[in-house]
Amino acid sequence: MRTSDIFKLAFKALRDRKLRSFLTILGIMIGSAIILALIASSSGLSAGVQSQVSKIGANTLTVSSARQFFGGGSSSGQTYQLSQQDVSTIKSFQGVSDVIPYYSQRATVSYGSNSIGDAELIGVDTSALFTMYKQLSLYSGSLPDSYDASAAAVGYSIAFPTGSSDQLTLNQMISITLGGSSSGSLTFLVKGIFSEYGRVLFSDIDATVFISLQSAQILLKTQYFSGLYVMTNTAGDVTTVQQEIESYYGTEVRVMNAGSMVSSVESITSQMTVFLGSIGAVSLFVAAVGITNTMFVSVMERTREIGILKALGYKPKQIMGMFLSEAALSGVVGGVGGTILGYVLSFILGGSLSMFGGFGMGGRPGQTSSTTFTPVFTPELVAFSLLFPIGIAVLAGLYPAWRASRMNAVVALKYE
Amino acid sequence: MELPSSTRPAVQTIDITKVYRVGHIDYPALKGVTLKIAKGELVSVVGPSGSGKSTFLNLIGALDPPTSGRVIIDGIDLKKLNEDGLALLRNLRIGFVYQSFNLIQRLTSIENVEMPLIARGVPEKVRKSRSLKMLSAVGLAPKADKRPTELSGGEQQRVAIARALVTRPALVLGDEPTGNVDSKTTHEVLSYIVQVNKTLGTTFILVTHNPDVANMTNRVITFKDGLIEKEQYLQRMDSYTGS
Repeated sequence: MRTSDIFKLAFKALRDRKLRSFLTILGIMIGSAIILALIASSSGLSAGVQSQVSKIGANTLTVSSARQFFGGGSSSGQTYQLSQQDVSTIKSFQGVSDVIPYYSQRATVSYGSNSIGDAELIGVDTSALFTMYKQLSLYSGSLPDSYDASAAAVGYSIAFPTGSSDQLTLNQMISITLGGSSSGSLTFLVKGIFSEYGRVLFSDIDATVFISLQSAQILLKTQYFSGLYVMTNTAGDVTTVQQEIESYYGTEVRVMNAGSMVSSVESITSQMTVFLGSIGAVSLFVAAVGITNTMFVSVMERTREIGILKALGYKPKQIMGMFLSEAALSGVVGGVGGTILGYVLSFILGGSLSMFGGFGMGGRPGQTSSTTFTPVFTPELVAFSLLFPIGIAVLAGLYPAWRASRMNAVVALKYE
Repeated sequence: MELPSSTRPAVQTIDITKVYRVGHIDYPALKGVTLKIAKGELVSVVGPSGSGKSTFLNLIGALDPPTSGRVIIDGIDLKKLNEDGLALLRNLRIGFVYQSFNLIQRLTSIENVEMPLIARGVPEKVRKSRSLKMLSAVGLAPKADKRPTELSGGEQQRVAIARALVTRPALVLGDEPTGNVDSKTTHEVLSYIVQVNKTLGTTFILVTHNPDVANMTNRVITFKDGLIEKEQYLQRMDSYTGS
């Protein structure tokens, strides 16, 4: 018996029972789709988080006034505000190599016909930028001079907004309106444009305007910082330094540790992967039971047909092969369909996972600092999601097919 | 020792018995049948229901093993064959025609006729043309693509005969082959069987209730209570085709 004939007959048999075959295959598809989508999006999320860590560095802590996490309720007047004094205090702690204070505020950037609403203005010692953000580089121009109050360096997507033909050039004026302020707009001269960088945990560097610490202090009319970047000597010092700061300030400040946030995101991700992965595994198992059941019904229904095949001289292993290839074919269609479905699903799932991943990372009220990522499809993963359902289907079909092949011809022929 | 092919009997049974066990009770269906059927014979097997005719047919068709005794088909002792060997023997040497036709309902006429050729691995083109030739021999070429449900009883039986003969078997076993068809079709089917028997020398063994069928065979074997009651040689009515 030719293999091509076995598969032709199997295909015909599946086609003759369209609805039942479809439902069986649907079960396999869902199982394989869930598993593919989960593995792809959780490894995508991990990769995304890790790339952010590599940008910010594992030896970095952020200290900010506790107020900023509770809806900006400054009316109480009880909140602690960070000043130059705190920079010196923290600098004196064991294990701290540097403290970089910064100002930050939501802002709208406009120039030409563009108005970019979701931008951020950060005032910081610009020479420290390359220490704070690993692998950050200038696309063109230079960093603003510390004492040049009107100079700014902008992120890539401020200079080259998507969907706009109006682009920024060096030494062009931009005007900035601060969020929540009625003090009118500020004007800066663009001295530098950064290359594309992406997000770090707190902000989108590409949508940020950097000015010097001194000009921010003057323009924002405050001596209090929005936050401090604390660099430790080694990544191992991070936890002890965090404890030192927390015991010194109590609940007055909030200390965030990039590394620990990453590990908590990763533990949440891996828990979700285990949880949803087991749902996927269970659904594949259910699908396997479904195949076994469908096959048994099919073998029962076709008892007489099996008797006829035996009388016509089909060998037991040929009959077994015919039924097994029906199961295998269901697995092939289910695997291919499931892989396509899983591919689509992983992007949908990616959307909801990134909201999850962004949880708790917002530096300021009203700011969503979501972690964007793309699902990762390795060749191994795709091969797995194509082949695993076939294996499951064949395994599930094994016993019914064996039963079919062992049937007594005379009894089978009398079956009504 | 072995007899030349031409003189070996098509079917030989030596004291075969068959006992069916249901629960703790044994039902003997055959109680010791010894028989030789020569090549090219056209034999009918008659007898009341439960006399063991169908059981006999299943045993010589290699579908069921005897409880004791030996079945020898064209010199091959079935005891010496395993499942695969028996399947191969059925595929190469034996054709079956049943009262209830036993066509596969979801396949078309031509696909049904092709089935025994698929088991042998005959390429699709070859088996299609052979099957179509076979169907036209039984006058059903125009209905090659119809399913059994779209055919009359007589047409279905002709498809079943085409399926039994497409492999050119040496031996054809019929279990009430005309039991479910009208008398006109019975005549057509019988005359076709006689013609194949005469031209190709195919051995036919037909279990039947119908005296008309029995009367056109060379030999009538009567079963009773699991034993051969009598055997009767007839002068074949070669003019049957015309009657």
